[in-house]
Formats: sequence, structure tokens, C-alpha cells
Amino acid sequence: MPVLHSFLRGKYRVLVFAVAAFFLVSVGVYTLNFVLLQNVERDAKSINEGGKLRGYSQQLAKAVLTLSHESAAGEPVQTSQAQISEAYQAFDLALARVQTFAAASQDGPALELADKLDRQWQPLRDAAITLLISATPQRAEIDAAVTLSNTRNVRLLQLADDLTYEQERLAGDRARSMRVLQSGAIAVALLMFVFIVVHVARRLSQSDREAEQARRETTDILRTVREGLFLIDRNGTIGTQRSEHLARVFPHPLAPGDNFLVTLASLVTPDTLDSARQYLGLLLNERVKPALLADLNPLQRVQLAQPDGSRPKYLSFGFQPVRGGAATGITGMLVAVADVSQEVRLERELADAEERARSEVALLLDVLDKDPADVRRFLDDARAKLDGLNAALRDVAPEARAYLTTVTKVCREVHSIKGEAAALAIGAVAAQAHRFEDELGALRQRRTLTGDDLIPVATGIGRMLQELAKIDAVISRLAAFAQPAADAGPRGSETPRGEDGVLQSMQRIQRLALAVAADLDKKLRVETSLPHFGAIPEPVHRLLREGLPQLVRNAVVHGIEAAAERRRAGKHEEGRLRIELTRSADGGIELTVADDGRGIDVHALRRRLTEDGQRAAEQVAAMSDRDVIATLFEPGVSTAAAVSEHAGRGMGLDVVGALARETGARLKLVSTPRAYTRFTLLWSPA
Amino acid sequence: MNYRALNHEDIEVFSEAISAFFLNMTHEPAVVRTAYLLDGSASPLWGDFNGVIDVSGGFRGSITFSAPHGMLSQVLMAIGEREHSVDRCLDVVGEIANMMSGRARRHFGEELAISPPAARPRTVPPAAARATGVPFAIPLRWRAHEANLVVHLDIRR
Repeated sequence: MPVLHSFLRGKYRVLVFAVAAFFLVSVGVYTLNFVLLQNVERDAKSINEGGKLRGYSQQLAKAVLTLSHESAAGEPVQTSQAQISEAYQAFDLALARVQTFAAASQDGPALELADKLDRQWQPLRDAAITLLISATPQRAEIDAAVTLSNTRNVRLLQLADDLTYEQERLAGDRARSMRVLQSGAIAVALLMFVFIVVHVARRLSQSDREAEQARRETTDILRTVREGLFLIDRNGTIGTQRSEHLARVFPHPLAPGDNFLVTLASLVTPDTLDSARQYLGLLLNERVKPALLADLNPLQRVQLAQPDGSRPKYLSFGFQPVRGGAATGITGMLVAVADVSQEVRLERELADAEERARSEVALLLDVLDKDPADVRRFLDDARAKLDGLNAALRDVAPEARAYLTTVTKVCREVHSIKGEAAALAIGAVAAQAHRFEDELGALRQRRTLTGDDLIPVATGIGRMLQELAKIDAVISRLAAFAQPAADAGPRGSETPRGEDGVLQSMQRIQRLALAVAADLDKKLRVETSLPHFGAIPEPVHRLLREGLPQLVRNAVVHGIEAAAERRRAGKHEEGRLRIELTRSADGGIELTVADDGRGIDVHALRRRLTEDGQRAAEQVAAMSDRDVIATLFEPGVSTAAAVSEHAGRGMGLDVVGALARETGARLKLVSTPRAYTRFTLLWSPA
Repeated sequence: MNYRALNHEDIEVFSEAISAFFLNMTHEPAVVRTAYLLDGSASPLWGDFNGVIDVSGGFRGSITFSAPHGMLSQVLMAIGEREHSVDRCLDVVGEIANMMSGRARRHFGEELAISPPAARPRTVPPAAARATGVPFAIPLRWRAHEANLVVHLDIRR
């Protein structure tokens, strides 16, 4: 019923009505034919009966005359009587039929003629019956019958002719009517047939045009749309139609009949795939509104598994339930795929730009409270070191030992830059150096280095230089900004030299020590002693800039204990770090860095040397305590359990040792376990 | 537009392409001796024969393989070539540039637009640098010879 209902209300309504009308017309024509043919049959019978009347009338007349002759000749008349009897009964029967046909045809003239026939017939009939009453009828009866037969027969013949003529006329009229009706009905049927054919043809043509238009529009949409579109059924099977853009977006060809989730499995992580499976299950649930699920879509922005080194690709999948109708519910999903890699990249660029802006502001703030001359000197020194490292890289001999020496040198210098940057509180450089140290540390763990291993060293130096260039740009901008004011202001505000410079260095070192202690949750008091002693030679200055941060950091990280440990050891929970710069009586300069921490545990250091594989156990066992302690000044030796931003790489004292050698200082280390450690650097008088 | 600093993988793509070329053609790999930055004051590394690819499309700059004539002659000899003409040497550096181009496309993705590899002799001076970052030089040794890979590339973040 619903099908018929939709048929009658749909675009085929006219066609259905036309076919029904054609059918009705055909049935009407058939019925009419049937009725008219019945009339024709009746008319034919009627005409036939009319014709018989003539024959029976003549037969009766002839039999009466014959009987008259036989009677006159005294011959037997039985045969004639039988003929008379047969003729009058046949006439009766024919007349009755004619009357019946006339009555049925409702034709006035025919009825009238039938009545006249009947009236003319009755006297003759009676006379004929009279002749049959006796085997030897009376002459008078015979003569009367002959006379009546002669007179009435002519009239009967005339009337029968008239009646036949009338019946033929009537039949002719009917036949014409039937032809007209049939022609009309056939014409109507033909018209309807033509209408149906034309209508159907037009409908089909229109449908074809509409279908073609729809197909073309669909093709245009699928070819033009900037999204990958395709359909999946409830089982996840991919349909046959898809937009052209899909091939550009989706890394794998999607064949019709493939399963979407199976295809997806090779592109996303198992967790994402599992989430996607659950999400699609929810979308197919009729009771859940898709709008509520939009935020849950695990494929809204998904990174695809790509070959190593390829740029990351991000796709966004949108799912829209497809409904087949009220009865069928959700039959599948329209999947829209878009490549959002560019969008993600732009977002990240924006985030990076914001981060850079933040870091530049932080850098600016870092630098603002520094003496620009100090920062400039740091930059120059750091660049000079990096340039030196770059030259070492360029000229390195192609052998593993030379590579390791070079990498160690890079480690030392980068650690030195990091220490100095930390002392100046230039966090960006310190952080960059720390990341670079991570890479260098991994290289130093290798047993054999090759030339390829120097590529990350070169790129690391490149990043360091880039970071320094940023600070340089900030300093230059500040200098440009400050120049007019400086020009307008009093002269004599040159870079502090001598004691002022040392004082500022000490203040920075103090801040560095407290910052490191705070990071490590230690309590610390820093004491500095800087008696008046005039100009400071550049080598000492250099060590204060580059080496002192290492010694201070070393003391805070390795020497000073945490407050709880100090309490347990019976010490004041606040550790003490003393930095002293003095001039001896002979004009020499002495720098002392002392802490009241845990001192150097020689046994622990021996274990560490063995555990790290730096030396064989027998070799370590054979070493004196002095030699063991001396290893602290070798690269890579550290007592820290793990690498952190402040310690653990074993480069700090290596830097100090190298600086001492380069600046001509004697380095002394005195330590008592659980009591103190003191580093002293002595420069002889010039 | 923001460009990021090169990382070592970006450079190794090219050095590995060169090593692979030598290994495939001569059964002896070219070995990276070292890597360093070419500062502005250094003269550009422009050898007897130079295979160059220029890149664009989210990238900016060029990658150059420079080799001395002696090295390329020996390469040609190793692969059975009797003719060691300038054209044949240019063919070799062009082929290396072509190999670098293919590896680069795989590494950096479809966004990388690469010019057709060009082979130029010393007499044709190098084009002006388009990248603003610091170029990296990677000397590669093959037998007793040393060639240079110069990666001067800016990569959009």
C-alpha cells in the first residue's frame, strides 16, 4: 500500500491515471460492442423471421388452394390439411418472434407493422383452423378459406415486406451507430494511447535530463570540492563515489569495498584507531545526537604515520550520519577528509612566534638589568669560543681520537658558556647550551666517533650562534635606544673596570648560587670577600667570568647538603659558601671558593669511576686518593647521580682546570669529608 | 616568514645521498670527514665541478656538491669510463645532485620545490646566496680526495 500511495502521489500520478482511463475506455468499447452485436444478432433474426412470414403465408395459400382442388376432385385432403396445419403454426411462431423482436427493439413502425400483420393474420388463421377441424371440410368452409387466403395473402406479403424493410432499416441504423461509436471509442483509445506514449516519453526524457543534470552536478561537486568526500556503510565499507580531492588528501588509495577502519589502521596509532571505532559506533546510535559528539571526534585532527623525516601530515575527518528514511534510520556515514597540515603548521608558527616574542621579551628583561658591557663581553667571548670550536671542527684530522678530543673540547667550551650565561642570568643561552650538552653527552658515550658524528656538533654550534645573535640584536637595539640619552648625559659612565667590575661579577655569582640552591631546594648563605686591591689582570677577570660560575655551581650542587641532611649531620641547615678574592703580600692574587658541605667522598668517587667504566677496578684500586680526586678535573667525571641543568656532565671542573692552565693559575683543592671543600686558584705576581 | 635552524638530519640527507652514490658506483663509500659552519668571510667552496640544486616552496637556498677534477676522474675510471672529459665530470656531479634531489624530496616532502639539478664547472661562478642562515660545509673523503657538500638552506618552521 505505501508503494501504491507513493506511486499515486508521485511523478507517475498522471501516467497511472492515463493508463487507468485507457483501460476503462477499452472495457467500455468492448462492452458496447458486446451489446451492439447482440442487437445485430437480434435484428438478423428478426429479419429472418420476417422473411419466413412471407414463405409461410404463401405456403398456407398454396395448401388451401390445393385442398380446394382436392376437395373438388374428391381426392383425399389429409396431406393438404397437414400442410395447412404446419404453415399456420409456423406463421404463428414466426409472427410471435417478430412481435417479440419489435417489442425488444422499441421501434414504433415495426411494432405497428407487427400489429397489422397480426390483425390480417387472425381471420386467415381462424379459417385455416376451420379447415382442420374435420377430415372432410365443407365446401363452403373451403371456399371461404380460399377467398380469405387470396385476399389476405397479398396483404400479409406486403406487410411482411414492409416489416422486413423496417427491420433492415433499423439494423442499418444500429450498424451505423455502432460504427460511429466504435470509431469514436477507438479514436479516444488511440488518443489516450498517444497521450500515454507522449507523456511517458516526455517524462522519461525529463527524468533522463534531470538524472543527467544531477549526475553532472554531483560529478562537478565531487570534482571541485576541496574536501575528500566518501561514504561508508554501517559496517565501515567504503562506497563507490568519492571526491577527486580525496586522492590528494588521503595517502593511500581508497578502493570501493575496503573497510575504512582497516585502512585507517596503518595511518594512526592503535589508541586513536580504537577511539575512532568507538566514536563511529556512537554516531550510528540513533538515540545519540551527532552535535553532542562533535567534540569527541578522535579524528578531528590526527597526525598520520609518515616515513621517517617526512613533514608531518595532519588530516581532519568529519562524520555525518546518512539516513535512508524514517523506517531505515542511519544507513551509513558521509566522511569528509581535509588536509589541515598547513593550518596546524600555521598554528604552530603562530605559537612559535608568540613563544619567540615571549622569549625575546624575557631576553630583553634578562638583559635590561645587566651591564650591557658585560653582556657584550660575554657575547664576544662566547662567539670567539664557538668560532674556535668551528675552526677545530674544520681542521680536525679524520681519526676517531681527534674526533673525541674535538667533541670533548666542544663540551668544555659549551659548558663554560652555559656557566657564564647562567651567571649573567641569560636563561635562553643557558638552556640552549644545556640542550646542546645533551647531544654532546650522547656523542661522548660512543666508543668510536666518525665524521658523520660531527654534523650534529656543527648544527649545535649553529643554534648557539643563532641564540647569541638574538641577544646581540637586543643589545644593539638597547644601545641604539640608550645612545641619545648617553650622548645627552654626563660623560664618564664607561664600562666599569677593576674593582667595580669584580664587584658586579661577585654580585652576579651570588645571585647564581642562590638561584641554583633554590632550584635544588637547599638553604644557602653566600659570603663574599673582596678587599680593595686595585686593578685586576685580564686572566683573573676571565677566570672570574668563566670559571667562578663553575666552582660556585659545583659547590652548591655537590657540596652543600639539603637542609634535612645537614640537620642530621648536626650542621646548621643553611649551608655556607664563601668566595674570597685576595692579594697576597707578594702581589699575587688568590681566589678561594669554599663550602661547608659534605666534602669529597673519595670512596664514592672510586666506585663511580669503576661503575662508569672510566677506569678498570684494578686501576682505580691502585690509584692514590690524591689521584682519584684529581680525576674530578677530567672531562666526564661527576659524582652526580643524574644529569640536570646544574650538574652531572662532569665538565665544570674540567673547565676550571683548563682555565687555570690557560690563565697561569695554580689550582689547589682541599676537602674533608662531611666538613668542607675549598678550591683555591693562585696567580703569581706579574 | 619564519625559518628554523637546520638540524643534523636535514644535512645528513645530502651527505648520505653522496655516500650512497659513491658506494653504488665505485663500491667505496665517500666518508664524511667533518662538518662546520662557513662564516661570511670564508670564500665559498666552489670546486672544479659543482652539482647544484636550488630549492623553494617553504624552503630557500641551495645545496652544492663540489669536487676536484682528480676525484671525478678516478670515479669515472672506477666505473669503467675511458673518457674523463669536462662533460663526463659534469655528468657525475649532475648525477650526484640528482640523487640529492630525490632524497631531499623524500625527506622534506612534497612541499619542497626543487629546481632541475645543475652541473657547473669552476669557470661559471656560483649564484648569489638566497638563504640567510649560516651555510654548513661537510667535507667528504673518497680515496685520497676530498669533496665538499655545502648546505645553505632556510627551512620554514
